[in-house]
Amino acid sequence: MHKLLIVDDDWFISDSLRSMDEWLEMNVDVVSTAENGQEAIYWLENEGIDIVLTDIRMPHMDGLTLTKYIYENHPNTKVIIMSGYEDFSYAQKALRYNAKEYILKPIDTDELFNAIKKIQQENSKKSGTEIVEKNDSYNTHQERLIISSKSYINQNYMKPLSLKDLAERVHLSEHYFGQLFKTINGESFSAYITKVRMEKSCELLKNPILKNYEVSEMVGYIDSKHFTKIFKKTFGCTPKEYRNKLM
Amino acid sequence: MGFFHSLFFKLLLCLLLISVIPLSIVGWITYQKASSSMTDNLNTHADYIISHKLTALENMYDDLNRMSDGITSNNLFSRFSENSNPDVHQQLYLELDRLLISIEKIFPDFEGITMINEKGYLYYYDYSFDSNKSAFDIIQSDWFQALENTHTPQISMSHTRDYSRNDKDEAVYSFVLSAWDNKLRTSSYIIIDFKSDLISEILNQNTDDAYIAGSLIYGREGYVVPHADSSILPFDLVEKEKSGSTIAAKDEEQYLIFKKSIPHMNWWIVEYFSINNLYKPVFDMKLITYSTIIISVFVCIFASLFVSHRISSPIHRMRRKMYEIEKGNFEEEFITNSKDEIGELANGFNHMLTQIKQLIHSVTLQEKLKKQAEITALQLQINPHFIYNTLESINSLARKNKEIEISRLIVLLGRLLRLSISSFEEEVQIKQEMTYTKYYLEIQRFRMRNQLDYELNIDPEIENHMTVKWILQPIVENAVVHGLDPLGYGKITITGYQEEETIIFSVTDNGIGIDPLSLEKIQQQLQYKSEELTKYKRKVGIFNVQTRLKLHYGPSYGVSIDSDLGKGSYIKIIIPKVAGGKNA
Repeated sequence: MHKLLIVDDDWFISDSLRSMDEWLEMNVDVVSTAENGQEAIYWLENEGIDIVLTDIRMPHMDGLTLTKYIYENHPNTKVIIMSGYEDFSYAQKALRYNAKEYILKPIDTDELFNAIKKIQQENSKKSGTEIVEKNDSYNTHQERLIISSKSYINQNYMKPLSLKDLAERVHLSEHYFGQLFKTINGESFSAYITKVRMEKSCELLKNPILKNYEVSEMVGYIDSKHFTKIFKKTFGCTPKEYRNKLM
Repeated sequence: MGFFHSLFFKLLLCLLLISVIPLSIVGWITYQKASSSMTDNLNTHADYIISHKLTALENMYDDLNRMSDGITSNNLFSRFSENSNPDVHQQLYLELDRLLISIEKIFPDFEGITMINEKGYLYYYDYSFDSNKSAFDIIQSDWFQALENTHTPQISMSHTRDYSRNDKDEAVYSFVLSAWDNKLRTSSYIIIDFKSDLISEILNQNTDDAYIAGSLIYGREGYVVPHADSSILPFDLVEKEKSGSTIAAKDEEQYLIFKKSIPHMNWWIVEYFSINNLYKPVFDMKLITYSTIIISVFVCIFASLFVSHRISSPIHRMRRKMYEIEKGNFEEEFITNSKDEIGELANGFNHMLTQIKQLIHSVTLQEKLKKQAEITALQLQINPHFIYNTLESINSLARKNKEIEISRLIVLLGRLLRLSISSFEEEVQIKQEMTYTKYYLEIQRFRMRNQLDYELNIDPEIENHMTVKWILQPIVENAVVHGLDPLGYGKITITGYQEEETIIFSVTDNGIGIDPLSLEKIQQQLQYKSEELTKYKRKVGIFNVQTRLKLHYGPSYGVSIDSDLGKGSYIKIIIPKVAGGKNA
């Protein structure tokens, strides 16, 4: 079973690719879809990914940077690039970072399957001598949903996130999603959001140019007083005191 | 640009330097030479005159000396000198008369001779002595006293002989010698008078010469000839200045004087010339030279001005035109009538202007075309990505709904599109041309519900050769649309092979074919009118291909068509073998 991650900023494209029936026949487990490189990296770190199918032009982190990251940090993960751009410099860069295939849009599914099969063959040749399966446990479907949600939170902490939005995103009921989140993650949805936001705010406070209320807004708090209160509750000091300590 | 940097000024300066300076120098040198030679001439002349007069005076003096020698060397004179007896004196008188008659011939111009011995005895000859006077009166007279040392003969100032009985009004000079007799140890005076006119006559020799203002003689006491009052030159100046100097006369006129001393006489002979008169020719010449130079200089200046203006003004005008042109006014023409270099320059200028205008026009046109081409290229570049993304979206939708055929069609369309706009080159490799045609045929196959068969037989050796791009697809399209569509099924065979130096493609279909009349018309049009049809009737397809091939490869290449009604059509394309180096 090869674990595949599809990365494209157009969710409809990645979703349509993910929902193809052929994956099962080909013994491919489509782990999830990601909207940009950063989200893909979150997945790479939380779930062993064998193949990444990525677009090039994406917000936050483009496909080539992602390919480079994978080349440097996850050498066992193979990359297939899909792009509408038939640009020589793109193809050259992709090759340099060891991308296996460069598939042009509109995607010929046969071409895509052939590329995947090629990688599977290569991997099976290698694994003939190695241990057949890596011992990292397969996450359950529910676990993947929560990882996906956490990835989403990590990307979108600056927006006003609610439990309802996240639950809708993974097509679960609000109540069930909340329970599932706490069960799998160990802490509640709101606690997780606060944690992410506080971590980010600590980083931002290191930048002396930013004012407190700006930091507050940048981590998703509209009311800076509320932000200060929560900050003090979390770290035992106000953002200002935290800053002074850094000096 | 200042005036001093202007062409006009430079030309003017050059011309002036070339003309005026040599002219002035030549004029000046000529004048100097001429005037100095003339002055030399005049000076020599003056010297000659003065020498001449001096000689005459010396001759006179020598005559007087000889006369007195004649007297003193005679016995009678000794006797006269030592005599103190009046009776003897009377006797001597007669004897002396006889002596003097013989002697007087030496100097016939004398007026009278007087001798006085130490005892006061007086003898006179050739004039009558006033009997009331004595020798003492003579010795006491002013003119006699003025003489210094009479042991050498002296000539007195002019006097009127008061002691004479008759000729008191006649001015004479006296030659006075105090003859010393060593033997007798006595001295006696010999006085020889001569007319004052005599010296005046000598002085006035050659005075008819136009230059000479006059001559004079002076002694220590003052003027000898003429009398002091009548001279226009102040005595002190004449005495003081050297020969050859210029002095101012009483009437303030300038005079040049030359003087020489007369030996034995303590006299100076002076010739004086009025400078204005003397140098008149020199002054005249100076005037002529100066006026010539000045006139020439003016002529030169005017000529230079004229020439400079003639040369510089068209250039100046041209410059102004250039200003106009610099400002962007290209309608200016430089009009001149001159046939010289300036005229040629103007012609060149106008020619250049026309060329620039044409160039600008063509550049503008090219820019416009280029811009259009760029815009087209941009449109072609921007749109594809949108198109590909849209196609991919449709593709996704098809995938989602398991519409595999749509997905396949979209992929083919995408590839066809990609190939057709991937390069802007006019030529592609035959390999690529075939791929393009294949995609097209695949799409057509979908459209015809798989009722279309095709077969591609391409000699692998020609795959890398070049061809004008997209020549097969329009032909295939014709075959499908006109040949196979009416039947709803059929087969297209494309063959590519090489024959000597050409490459031949044939496109064969087994469709309905073309009726002979239409076929003939098409063949005619294909041969003669394809360009026109492509251009004006916007015909694509076979005529377009024909036009492009003929334009690109020349008239011996192109498309031909044949058909059998009911059996199908046969189209043949001939292109030259062109090796393709790139993208092997």
